[in-house]
Amino acid sequence: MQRIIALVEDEPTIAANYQASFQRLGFIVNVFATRSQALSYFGERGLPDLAIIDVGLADEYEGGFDLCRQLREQSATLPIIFLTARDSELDEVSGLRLGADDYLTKDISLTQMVARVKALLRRVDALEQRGNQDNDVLTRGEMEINNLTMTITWHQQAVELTLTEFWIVHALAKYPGQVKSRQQLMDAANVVQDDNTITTHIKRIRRKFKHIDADFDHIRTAYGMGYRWSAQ
Amino acid sequence: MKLKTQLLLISIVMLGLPWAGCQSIKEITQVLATSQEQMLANSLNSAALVLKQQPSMLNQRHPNTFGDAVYAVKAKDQVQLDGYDNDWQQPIAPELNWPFMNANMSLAAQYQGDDLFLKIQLITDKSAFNLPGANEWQQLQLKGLSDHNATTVYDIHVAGDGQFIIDASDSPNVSHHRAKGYWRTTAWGASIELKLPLSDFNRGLSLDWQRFERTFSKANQAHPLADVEDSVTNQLRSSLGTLGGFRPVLRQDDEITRLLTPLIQQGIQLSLVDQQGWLLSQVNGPRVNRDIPGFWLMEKIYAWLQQNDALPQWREIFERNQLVYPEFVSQFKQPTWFKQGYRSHLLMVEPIKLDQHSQYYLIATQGGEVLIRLAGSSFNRLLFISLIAFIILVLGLLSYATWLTWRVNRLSASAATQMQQDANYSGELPLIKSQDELGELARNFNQLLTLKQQQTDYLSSLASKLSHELRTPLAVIRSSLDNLSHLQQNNTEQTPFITRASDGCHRLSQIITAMSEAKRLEQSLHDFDYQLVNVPELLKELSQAYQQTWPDHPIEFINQLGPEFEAWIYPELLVQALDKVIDNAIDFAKATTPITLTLTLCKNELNWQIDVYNQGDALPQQHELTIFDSLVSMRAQQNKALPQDTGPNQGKSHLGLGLYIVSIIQKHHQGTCRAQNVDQGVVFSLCYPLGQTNTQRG
Repeated sequence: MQRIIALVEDEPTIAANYQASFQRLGFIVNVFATRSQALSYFGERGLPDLAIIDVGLADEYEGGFDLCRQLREQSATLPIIFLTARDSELDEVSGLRLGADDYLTKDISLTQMVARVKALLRRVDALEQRGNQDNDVLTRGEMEINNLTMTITWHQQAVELTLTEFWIVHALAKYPGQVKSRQQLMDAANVVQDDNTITTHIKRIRRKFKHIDADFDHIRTAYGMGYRWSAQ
Repeated sequence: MKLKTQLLLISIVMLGLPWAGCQSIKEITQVLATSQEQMLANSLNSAALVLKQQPSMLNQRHPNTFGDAVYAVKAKDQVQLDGYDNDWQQPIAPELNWPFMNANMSLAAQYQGDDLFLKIQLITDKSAFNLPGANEWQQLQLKGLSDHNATTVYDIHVAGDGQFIIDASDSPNVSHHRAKGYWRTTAWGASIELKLPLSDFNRGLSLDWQRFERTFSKANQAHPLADVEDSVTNQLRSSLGTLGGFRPVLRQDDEITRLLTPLIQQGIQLSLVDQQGWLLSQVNGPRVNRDIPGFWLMEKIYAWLQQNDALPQWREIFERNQLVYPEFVSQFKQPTWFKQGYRSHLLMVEPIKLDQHSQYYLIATQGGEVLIRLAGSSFNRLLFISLIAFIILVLGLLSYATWLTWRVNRLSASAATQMQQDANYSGELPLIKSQDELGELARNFNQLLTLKQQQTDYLSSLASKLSHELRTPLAVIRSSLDNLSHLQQNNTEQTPFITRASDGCHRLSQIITAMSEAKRLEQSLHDFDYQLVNVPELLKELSQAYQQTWPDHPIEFINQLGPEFEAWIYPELLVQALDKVIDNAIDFAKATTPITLTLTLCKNELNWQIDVYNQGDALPQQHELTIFDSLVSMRAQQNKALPQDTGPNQGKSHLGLGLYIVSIIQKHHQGTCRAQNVDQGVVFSLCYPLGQTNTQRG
């Protein structure tokens, strides 16, 4: 069964390129230039399997955010990825708070984008088929990493991580004690970002763990080198 | 030359004000002097006219008198007839002397009311007493010439010391005159005081010291005292004195004084003298305040203003009631000026000739006191006012200069602070609302600083804006290349070009990411923890990590603060800043040369700092302060980042963003950063304040 991807992008060349690429991979891609077009279509034909949304849409400066909010109201599990030229911290935080699964800047390669799309779809599938996928679980102390659902629990409580954050934690926890440089973490997370953004991701991940366990201190900084997972 | 000095010099020009005032006073003084001469001449003429109209009041010389006059001084106290002259007026009255051989007779006169006092001193080695039976005897014979030409003769011959009474010899015109006297023998002779009727001597006096030899008749030689009248003959042997002739008697006449007094004016002294210079009358006008109310400096300045150096020195013109300088009387109507210190004296003479034998002179003098009072007080006021004005002006100018300097310094300091590379211009400059030139300057500074701030802000946001704008076309290219590479998988000719284009896109993506890093950092600063960190341990750990990253350069860590040094910092931000600085140092260091990290105290000992030193090209001198600005890069790289590199320097570009991030982090620490050239290299210093506590940061 072919998966349907909704691409809401007001830049026609980018939309065309992504459409061509995903179609070549067997996806059905519906391209919308405006929020109203997308909502209208979804109203008639139902929600897609995954939505890739640009933040700024035509004359709506934050039309993508509004669309994300409206889609999340309709479905809690619909994978949503923001693809935008805006790379400010504020925009990223805003997008993720609205329930997006990831926030990407437009200079990401198609390969990295496809990896994300596939991963998110796989997670949806895994969530729908929960119970049969328990064998692909990585346990690190109180942490369990489900590679299929791309979910992480700490003290058996789910840690709400974005896809990028999941991949970073996974990369760190896979080999405890081994220092991962920022570049390695970027590669693992399929992103091309600056060092500071990785630092920000790490801060955000720590905060999410500490929200569950105030004593959480397993992600250690190796000054000048990167980060490592500490078993203790 | 500083502003204060300039204004002080300008204020000296104000000294011209008192100089001009002095010139004015000098002119006034000359006018007043001419006026004074005229006034004195008028007074003199008036007095002379009055005297000429009253010739009888002038004590004219009697035609029968000749020789030196006997001048009688007006006594102030009653003279006691005791032979001592201590009650005579001092300085003692002028004397007449008649010397002969070893003998001498002197005469001094004094009057009081209607009495004439004579003091006669005899110097002789013989007794002057008239002793009965002696062969020799002496007497003093006085003759007076009255206003009525009557002659009165007084013969004085006493037998011993003591008071005596003499009777005037009979005269056809005078019935009876008695006089008192006192004879006192002294070591040198005798001192005789006489009290006589002044009226008998108004016109002349004759005094003779006569010595007689007494001879007796033959019949009575056995008893010489039996019958003196018939048997004794007095024969004059010698005489000393006027020898019967009359000397004129002169004295100050109160009547003339009363006559002249109404004519006299303030500050004028009018003197009447006879042809021999004897003072016959002297009238003084009301005195004026003689002194300049001031001190010696004022007198000196005033004397200089008067220009009286060439004038003759003033001296008293009368001595013992006689004119000291008889030549004065020849200066008829010629005003003559004398100097006495800063004062000047004016002298004028008017002759009064009654007949061929009677010549008098009126001498008028007037001190410069009037001028001094008029001009001097003006001069004092002028000097005082000028001085006060000068002091006020100088103080005013100095205050104004101080105020100006303070304002300029305030503006300068504020502008200098705002011009510093790490300062954000707040739009607040002093004097910006002032309406004067400094206000205009402040407004111009404001415009300049606003433009600079706008440019800085623009540069700061330029990278972020550019990255935002470039991402979309980059995404178009990249996605197109991705699609193209899938379509041309088997086309060996096109694949390398697509690969190169993809690599270019990747590098461009890195550049765009770096360009937005500063903005992202600023937005995430509040996410970082402020912690008390052992800085030496942190730096040691970092040095080791850097050494692994860049094995070609020895990384040295020097700790000058001890192993236990702890400080409140944002450790991850500090590391991020240090990463940039080390990265920069490696890029510009000469191959294989060491990179040195030094933890030390700043010179002011209020901050601590981390110095990163590398050998290599120096920074351009003018850019030491701007190197931390956004998009500023100016050193030549040491051939590290070649296109074929695959390490961390691959495709590395220096857009001047790394050090800008360092400056952002330092500002967040409330610290500073600077770069300076040292021997054979460059030192980047990251300074942090000492003594910060968690509470201070909230």
